[in-house]
Amino acid sequence: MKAYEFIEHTADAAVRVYGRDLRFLFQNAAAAMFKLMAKPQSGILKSSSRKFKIELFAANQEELMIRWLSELLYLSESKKIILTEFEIGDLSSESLRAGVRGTSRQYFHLTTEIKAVTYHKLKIQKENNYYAVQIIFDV
Amino acid sequence: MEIPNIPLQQLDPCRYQIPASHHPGMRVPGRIYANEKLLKDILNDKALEQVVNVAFLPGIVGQSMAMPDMHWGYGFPIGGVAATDPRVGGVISPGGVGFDINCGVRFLRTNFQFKEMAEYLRDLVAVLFDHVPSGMGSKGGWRLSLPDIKQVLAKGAKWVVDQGYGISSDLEATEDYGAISQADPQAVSERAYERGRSQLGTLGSGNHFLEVQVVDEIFDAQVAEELGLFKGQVTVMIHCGSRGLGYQVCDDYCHRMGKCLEKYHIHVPDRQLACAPVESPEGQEYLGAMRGAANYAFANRQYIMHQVRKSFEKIFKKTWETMDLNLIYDVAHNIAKIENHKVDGRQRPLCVHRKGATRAFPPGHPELAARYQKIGQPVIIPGDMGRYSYLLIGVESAAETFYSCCHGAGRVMSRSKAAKTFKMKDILKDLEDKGIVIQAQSKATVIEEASGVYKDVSEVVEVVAQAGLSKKVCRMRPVGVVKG
Repeated sequence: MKAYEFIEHTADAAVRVYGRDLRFLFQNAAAAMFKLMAKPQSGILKSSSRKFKIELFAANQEELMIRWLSELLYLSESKKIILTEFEIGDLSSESLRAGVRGTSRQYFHLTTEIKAVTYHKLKIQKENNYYAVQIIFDV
Repeated sequence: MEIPNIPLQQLDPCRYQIPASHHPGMRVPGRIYANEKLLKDILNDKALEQVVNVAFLPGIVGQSMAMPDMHWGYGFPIGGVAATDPRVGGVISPGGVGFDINCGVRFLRTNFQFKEMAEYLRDLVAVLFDHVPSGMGSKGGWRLSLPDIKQVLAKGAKWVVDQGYGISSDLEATEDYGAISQADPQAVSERAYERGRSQLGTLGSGNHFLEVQVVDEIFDAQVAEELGLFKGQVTVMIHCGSRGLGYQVCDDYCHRMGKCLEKYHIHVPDRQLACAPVESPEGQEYLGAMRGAANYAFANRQYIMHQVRKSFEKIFKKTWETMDLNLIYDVAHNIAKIENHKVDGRQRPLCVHRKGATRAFPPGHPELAARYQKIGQPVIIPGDMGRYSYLLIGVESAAETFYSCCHGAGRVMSRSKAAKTFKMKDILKDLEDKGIVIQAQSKATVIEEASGVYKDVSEVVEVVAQAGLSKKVCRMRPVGVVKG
């Protein structure tokens, strides 16, 4: 099962994310967002990456997804890093704890500036034995 | 909410109506400004659905409107205009402003005929590219302290002028004189400040640009003369907004307003239309924060204009004043304003949302500076990098849209489709054949911003002129383009 696929959107960027459980769904959504933002150049030193802890609360799962991705976007911009590893620790319908790792933007070719994650038609759905969500980014 | 089969009643060649009876939640009708040709593209995406959704907003007055460059956005369609009455519980919605608060355009003249400076064009574009940071992750001319950035939010373009980067007459030629009053820097989050502190003076990326243009055709000789414009003249256009600070303000308040829906018993069909009564604490805080972000954008364009002036000075070895690099006007096209409008025969303060739409005040409007009283407010409409931009002027007959007009061309093709359809070398060849010099940070941006991805802005402008929403003054073609 693929983790995500980018889909057509006239003005912005849209992605459909999949995950065999919610933890994977959230991790794959993060990976998709950064895939949109940047491509790695050669020569990234693993030792140059930094780790961050994240803890979030929201009213429901969809809000939690928005908060998660918005938090990562803010982290990326404020610390001037591109995040590449995402590990969700605890996840409920209203809270999330995670560890993420990222590297300085200088090691990446920046491709798309994401202004924000939108709420537009964002709905986490369970389909047979996997979860899916469509996310639209304002670029 | 999916709304199939939206009925469209044609009122005249440029106006279509969605009756309020179409859905019980609609408080007012929908009004689309478009001709038959533009309507074909409009019907391809879900923008009409969003016009219907906006008609649900509590306190909405008149109609839920969309300009001919409309396409779907978040909450409001891009090109959406809606006014609410605060005194009857009318709401304000961040989705009616957009993430890029006060994305807008600034238009300068020079006293050059293009033929006088054509041989310097390539060098000029190179210096502009060097002097005006662009692209993703670019930093501005200076890193602001927290007290300074709060001053920027309070004073807007005036703060930049006070630092020595401009003159007071620049402010008269800016919407709201370069700063919307009653901005509230306290209502802006630490995160927004952190994102904005090193971005003042940067262009950004995507559809933002800096262009050197030539006035290609004059439609209204009298107004053109009043504004110091002539055929063959070199002009400059700057398109950008409030950068990361604005995006964060919108994100913060979209989140906050979500909780207001239950608190104030508001039903909207789209979460992205989350809103609060203008006169509620949340509404007032968003208004204050949005004004602050808008002022940051005015300051941003003021500083970029300073860099443009310096670039011209470097190439031509004359002062910018000698080259008459003066500001024609600066407009916002993602904004919400409290403005007085006549409704049912009486003047009322309304909250006018313009999301991808431009204010177009008529001659005699009290909010315009003296120099625009006779002619009306200039309205700047940027096209795509291979085709024309326009200067329009406000007219009285636009009262039906609360003096609002289109903002640009509107996309018709996705970025991914553009990447599959266009090749860089073909785009560059096309630009070269048209005599256009380009410098861009990113190859991907050039492809994503190719002419074919946008509607024809000339078509959009014809509709607004025909509908009496503004009058054409002149048309400009690009000769030099800087993109992020």
